[in-house]
Amino acid sequence: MSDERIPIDQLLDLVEGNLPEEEAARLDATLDEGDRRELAVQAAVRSVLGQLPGPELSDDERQRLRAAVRAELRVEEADPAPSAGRQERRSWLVRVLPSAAAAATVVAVIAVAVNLVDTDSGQEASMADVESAVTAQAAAVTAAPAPTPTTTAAMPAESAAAMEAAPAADVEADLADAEMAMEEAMAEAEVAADLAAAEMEAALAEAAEPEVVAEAAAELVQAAADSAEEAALGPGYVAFEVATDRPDETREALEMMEELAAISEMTPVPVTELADRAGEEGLVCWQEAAELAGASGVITWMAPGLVDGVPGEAYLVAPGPDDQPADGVLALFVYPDCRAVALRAVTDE
Amino acid sequence: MSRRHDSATADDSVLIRRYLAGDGRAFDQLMAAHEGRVFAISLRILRDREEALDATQETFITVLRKAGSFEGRSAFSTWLYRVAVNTCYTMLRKKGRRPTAPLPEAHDPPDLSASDRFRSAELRPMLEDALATLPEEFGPAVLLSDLEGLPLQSVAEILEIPLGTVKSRVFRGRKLLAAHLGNLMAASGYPKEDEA
Repeated sequence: MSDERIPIDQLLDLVEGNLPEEEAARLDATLDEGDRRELAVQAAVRSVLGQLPGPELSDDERQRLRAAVRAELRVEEADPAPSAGRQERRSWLVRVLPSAAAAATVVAVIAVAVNLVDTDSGQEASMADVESAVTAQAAAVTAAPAPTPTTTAAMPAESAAAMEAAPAADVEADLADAEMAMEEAMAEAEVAADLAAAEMEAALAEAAEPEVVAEAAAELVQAAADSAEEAALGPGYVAFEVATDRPDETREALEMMEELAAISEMTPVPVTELADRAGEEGLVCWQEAAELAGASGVITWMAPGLVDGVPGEAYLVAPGPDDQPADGVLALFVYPDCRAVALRAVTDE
Repeated sequence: MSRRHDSATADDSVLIRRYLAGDGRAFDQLMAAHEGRVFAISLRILRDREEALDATQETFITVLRKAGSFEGRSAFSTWLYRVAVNTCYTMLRKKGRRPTAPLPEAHDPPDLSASDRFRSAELRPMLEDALATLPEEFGPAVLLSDLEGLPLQSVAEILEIPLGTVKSRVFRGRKLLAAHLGNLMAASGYPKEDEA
């Protein structure tokens, strides 16, 4: 038999094409007729087996299989509603803010505040009037399906006060209602954006100087248009931009996250309970956050979201009570490997 | 290791973490990624759809229950397919059922002209029958390598045997198949090429 002279593994490597060209040629030159016949049969069997169609699960079998495994492992049914893309764009902001109405109010106020502060500091005197008018109109504006915010990375510190000015009744609405409202807003986002902009413009016209109103209104119209575009992508879309080559934006974004954490009502989660709590929230980067917190630490706040457009998670991590509880780390991780893309020490000072 | 394989491995690791965190969608994604191949392997070993479904179910339950101990040193699929193969052969042993068809005495050199006839679709049932008769020593190696198209190194990891042993088993398994197929063709009256 030929395979007494040429080792089987070499013959097989020749069939599989695993040998370098030079070595394959050298080996091929040593083959006799029996070897070649053996190789031909090996190649033929390999080829035929590779072409055999594989058995497939029917839909019914697939459902039965998954149901049985799911039941045995007590895995809860996945939410059927959101598509993958929409789920990826779930907003940190919406999860933090207590209601869709409050979110819309904040968006409007932020838009005005950013505009006024950035354009002319001399106009700051009229800002309070504008904010007041906007807040007073918030219920009417947000009663309709609300547009969602555009990027908030550039939100200034002043906007934190505006957030807290949101109506108390709205603030008390729960997160589930907020997300449901956002889902409904999807269908009529563009109409709502137009409505919001028009009503906002009307409110501003009554409350402030014409030139200020004109500028603010233009900003609002643009914001509304942007919101409609974002809403078309998914409910509560907020891009959280963090980039090492844009340190100013990163700093502002982190400040915004701190503010959001400050107004959220999340009870700090001890690291020892983090796995369960993160599981409930559908978060997967909790191990990385736990390492930052240490054995006795807590997670003050956590949420999924986008980091520079990449799905990820944010955690506000605080060391244990024996340390300085006011200190902490804001950590942002991106999928798929929960890579840390931004860490920043924060304090209450 | 291919980039695609690396990517699939990374994806599996992420899915496992999400599954362990209680994400029901990750469970569905893991199942969707692997249930087809696990079922195919099971059915080819057990040759009974209901038993193959049972084996597939048992495989996923076993693996996902222990997913917390998965450290990602090897591919998740390697672990999964290893459990699948072991589960199937355990089921066969429990039932006292082993492939019983006699294997041919493959002493004669294979006939080159017969190899071309393997390509006929008419031989498919015979080929499946022949596969079912392969002993446990050779069957899984040939199944994973030639039917599932896995690299020999992966087959070695799944079966937890040296690469050289995998090569030997695949080589001898193919040889047995070729000889067995020749016998089946002769027994069924399948016309030889020179008779057609």
